[in-house]
Amino acid sequence: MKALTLTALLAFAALPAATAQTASYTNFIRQTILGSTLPVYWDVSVASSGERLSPTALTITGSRYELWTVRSTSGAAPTSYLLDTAFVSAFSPSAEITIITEDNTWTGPVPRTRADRPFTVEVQVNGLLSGATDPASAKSVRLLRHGQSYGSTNGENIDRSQASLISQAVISSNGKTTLSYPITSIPGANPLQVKGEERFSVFTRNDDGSDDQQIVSRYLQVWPVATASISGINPGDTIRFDAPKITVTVNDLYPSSYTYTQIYKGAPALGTVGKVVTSAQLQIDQAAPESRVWVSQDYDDLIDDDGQWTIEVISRTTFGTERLAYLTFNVNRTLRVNSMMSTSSGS
Amino acid sequence: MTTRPPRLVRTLGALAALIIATPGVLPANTNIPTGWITASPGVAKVGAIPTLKWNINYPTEITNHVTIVPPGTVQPTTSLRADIRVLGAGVTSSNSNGSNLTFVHTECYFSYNNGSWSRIFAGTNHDVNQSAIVRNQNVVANSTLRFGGRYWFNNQWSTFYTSNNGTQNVRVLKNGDSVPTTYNVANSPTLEDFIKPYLDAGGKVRIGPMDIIVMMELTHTDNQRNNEGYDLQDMVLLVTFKNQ
Repeated sequence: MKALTLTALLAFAALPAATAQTASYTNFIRQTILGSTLPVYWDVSVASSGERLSPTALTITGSRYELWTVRSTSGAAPTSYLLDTAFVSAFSPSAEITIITEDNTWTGPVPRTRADRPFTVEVQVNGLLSGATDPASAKSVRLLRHGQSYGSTNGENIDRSQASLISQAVISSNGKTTLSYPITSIPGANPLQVKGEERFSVFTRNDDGSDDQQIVSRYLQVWPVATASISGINPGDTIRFDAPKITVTVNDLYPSSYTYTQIYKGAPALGTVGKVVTSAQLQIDQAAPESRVWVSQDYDDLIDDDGQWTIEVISRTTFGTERLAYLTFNVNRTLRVNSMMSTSSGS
Repeated sequence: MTTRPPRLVRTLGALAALIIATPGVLPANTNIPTGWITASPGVAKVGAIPTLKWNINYPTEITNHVTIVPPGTVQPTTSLRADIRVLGAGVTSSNSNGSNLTFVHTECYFSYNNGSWSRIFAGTNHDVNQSAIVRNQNVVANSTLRFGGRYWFNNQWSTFYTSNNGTQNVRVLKNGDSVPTTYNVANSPTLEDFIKPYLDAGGKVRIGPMDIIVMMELTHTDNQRNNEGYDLQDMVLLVTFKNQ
């Protein structure tokens, strides 16, 4: 057997994609044979889905199985992703984690929510023992909560080893534990603008000095609250001739959303149905948020009367309909002729 | 968690045989790879060989799941759901001096797997609601999705152009494609406002990775492709594909 470091393995795995035009993926399962001496690793390349026997048989201390994929893109360094782990031993409690969000229309493999929305985590633990003679490691598991910001990306190059531990708790009884969180705890200066992921994982609690082993983990993607701004016209401005071009900037539109700009006569009032500015709207239904800049002047066609007008940016998501930005301006296009008329007559 | 000691790594099989995976069979609805693995039984005796099951979802794009048959037909390569939305209907009429510009009544049709044409939109551009799904169609591999359109003007219907009537009037494009006009449509004076948010400054389509856009030219023929009015914005659809 040839010993390789993980780094070497991943670098080699990236080679076949060196000439690829788009991303390709190399997958492998790593079996870690645990023990009091050096752990032994077996790597086996796999397809994107399947079923097979463990590379080697179990020992008394058990095995951990890690599912990895490595993305290779022409001209870019390969990125490795640890996708999931499983653990088998002569004794092991079992656990399952279910993350419930308000985005119940989402069918993707990882649940998602928005930074300002609550979510619930259900942890089902079975197989814990409580006998006086049972080892301490058989009596409880540890629940870990990690958070990791995607920074300026949408997570494409995430290194999950850099996630921050937010909290941990010990679960010492079988059954379901329900945890409710009002909002995410992903690190960030503005909690409403963070984007990233939370990871909830259940680990064994070994009392013999060996590593705790992950039994299960689940991820939650969190996207920021969208923001918008309208520039090119100032609140309170009066339009006398053609309306000026406006720039509508929308950031972090929720991945499944319809965002539009509308205009109506009168003061701003939530819930008002106006006329849609057709050049400043976007329908998206995808896995990551979008940011756009729209330069529009066609709202001028929608102004049909003098008076106060409101223009606003609305976003519809699974969480409801929300106003992201608005401003009011005045229109005064009535031509007024101010003149002094006089007559004179000779005498 | 303790610090792990130095590792010994053993590899099974030749590394050269590592499998290069193409994006999965089904759309993943994910922007980063995700996956799961199970080992069963979870508790086993020494010497047992657990069974592993796994699945990986990759970020993907439309060409991994449908084939675009130029100019305007879509053939899925697996079972999917297609959500069809209308982005705009750009046929207008005006006086000879350009005044009194108004949108005219336009209709859009859809045919699944060589079935009969069914109307999915009728009205003017003012009737368009971009967020409304006008047709939700489950599709199977190797089926066909075709589109057609026409408008009503001067008390008669225009030519009914379709994906398969032998002309180039109905086009299907994906993210990054250039709109096949003879000029940069993004800078065109005929550019319809409703299409602007779905194009970049260079006139390329900017939509989601699992979207296609259907653009129809209903007022000009193939022989008039150099005409400025040939802008493929007389009827525009956005089709989003998902898992069923």
